[in-house]
Amino acid sequence: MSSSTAVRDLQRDLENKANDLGKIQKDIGKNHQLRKKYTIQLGENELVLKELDLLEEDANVYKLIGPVLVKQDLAEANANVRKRIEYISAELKRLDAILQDMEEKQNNKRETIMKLQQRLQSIQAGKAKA
Amino acid sequence: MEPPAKGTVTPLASLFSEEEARKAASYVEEKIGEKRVEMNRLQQFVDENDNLINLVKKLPDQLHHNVMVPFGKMAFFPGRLIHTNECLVLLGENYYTDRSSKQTVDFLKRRDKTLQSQIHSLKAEIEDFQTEASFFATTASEAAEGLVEIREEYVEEDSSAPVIQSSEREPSNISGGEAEEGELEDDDFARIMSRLNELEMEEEQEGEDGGDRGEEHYSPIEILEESQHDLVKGIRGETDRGRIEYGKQETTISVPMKASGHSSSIREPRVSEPRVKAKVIQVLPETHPHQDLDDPLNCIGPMAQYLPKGDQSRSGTAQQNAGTWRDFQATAAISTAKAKTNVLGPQKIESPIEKPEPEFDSTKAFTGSIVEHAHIQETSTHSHTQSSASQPSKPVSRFKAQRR
Repeated sequence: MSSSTAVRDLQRDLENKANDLGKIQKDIGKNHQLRKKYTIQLGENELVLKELDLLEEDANVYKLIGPVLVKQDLAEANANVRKRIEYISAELKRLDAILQDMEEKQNNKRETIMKLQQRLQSIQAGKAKA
Repeated sequence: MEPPAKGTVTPLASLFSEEEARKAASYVEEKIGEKRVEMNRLQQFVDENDNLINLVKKLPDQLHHNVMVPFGKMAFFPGRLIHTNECLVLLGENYYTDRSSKQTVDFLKRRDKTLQSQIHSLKAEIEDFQTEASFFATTASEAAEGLVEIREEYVEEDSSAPVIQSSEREPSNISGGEAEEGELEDDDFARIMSRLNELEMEEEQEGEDGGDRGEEHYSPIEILEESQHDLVKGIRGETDRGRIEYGKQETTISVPMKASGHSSSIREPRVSEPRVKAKVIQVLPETHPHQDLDDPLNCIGPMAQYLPKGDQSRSGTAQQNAGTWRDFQATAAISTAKAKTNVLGPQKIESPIEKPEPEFDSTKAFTGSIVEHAHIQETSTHSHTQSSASQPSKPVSRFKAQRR
């Protein structure tokens, strides 16, 4: 009787851990998507910066805000884009760190799950023999 | 021919199952499909961009254009385009700027360039995936056919005592392969010798301008006379080795063999070699900057000379190839292969089962490979040493030694 409760406990434990693992994996997937988005934005911003650098001093630069084109200073636009690139790179770095962390967690969870499964199997095997 | 108690024999099928490999192959194929879609999208962008460039180029030809202006979804009304030399260009990230037509065209061309580079990298990726896929496919079929892997530790009697670990795949019916190899041995040996002599002559002729090469340290001749078995192995892997081994001491040489393992199978590997070599040709120029600065001409000169030769002999025997390549590499002082080797070597050796970087011989890693570790700590003042010293068991070292 005691062994059956132990088995039930183990199974519940295993289920929880599996759920956790699934959650982490989902998070990692989300992280990947976010990273993809940011990388694309970074590329676009870099292109813009390159083009802005190529513009002559007195060129008209507009920023589309909602439905209106707002005239902007070239220097200002340049600074804005630079800041944005900085921000995105920082964000990417942050995401990287998070991703690493999550992957570590994932591996840990996976290991514990493996261990649990083994224990469960050994218990069941023992029962079968008995 | 395999000395007993040296090395291990593992059936390929025990390392990974056939279905697994097949699954991997289909997975990679899927990826290729995705990439193809992506590439089509990019190609569409490129086409649109081209059209736009043409349009913008034409616009300032006239002061105004009579056009039909779309009005809502269904209606058009006649209108005229004025200010034909002014464009409002979207730079990205909601930034716009006023540009003339000419400036716009320049801008669009730059954009085209970035698109092209993206397509280029995508193409490379697809190619990678394709090699990967074919690699998995061949692996699967080989596992099914029951290839075995033979891995052997090899200790060189050199003072620096490099360790050469060789692994090669052979048909499971070893007896057949063995007999064949015995026949080939002498033949190969003689051919390699004559080839070496040839190369030596050439070397001497062109060596006038690059005399300093002679002082390099080369491994002694006697290594050449090492067990025939080693030699044959060396010969087989030589072409690839010529590429890899120099800078770094961990190398993989692939000699694909068919599982059927009958007499013809030993020659078959050559068929697939040209592709590898083509890659090498691409790779080398980019590695040149790392080379010795003291005689850049040497580096480039020999290359130009030897490359075509390599091409010719490609159709001929592999040994000749080998000789040419080795020679070329030696003269060109390849302290350079290093980077490539670093990437390739360890990976191949330690985890051939895992997804390979589909570079170079990844497709052949299983079809048969000679893995070589040669840890050499020769401390010579001459930087060329690196390249030459790391090829201790190669026939080429012989003629180098003579030149010394």
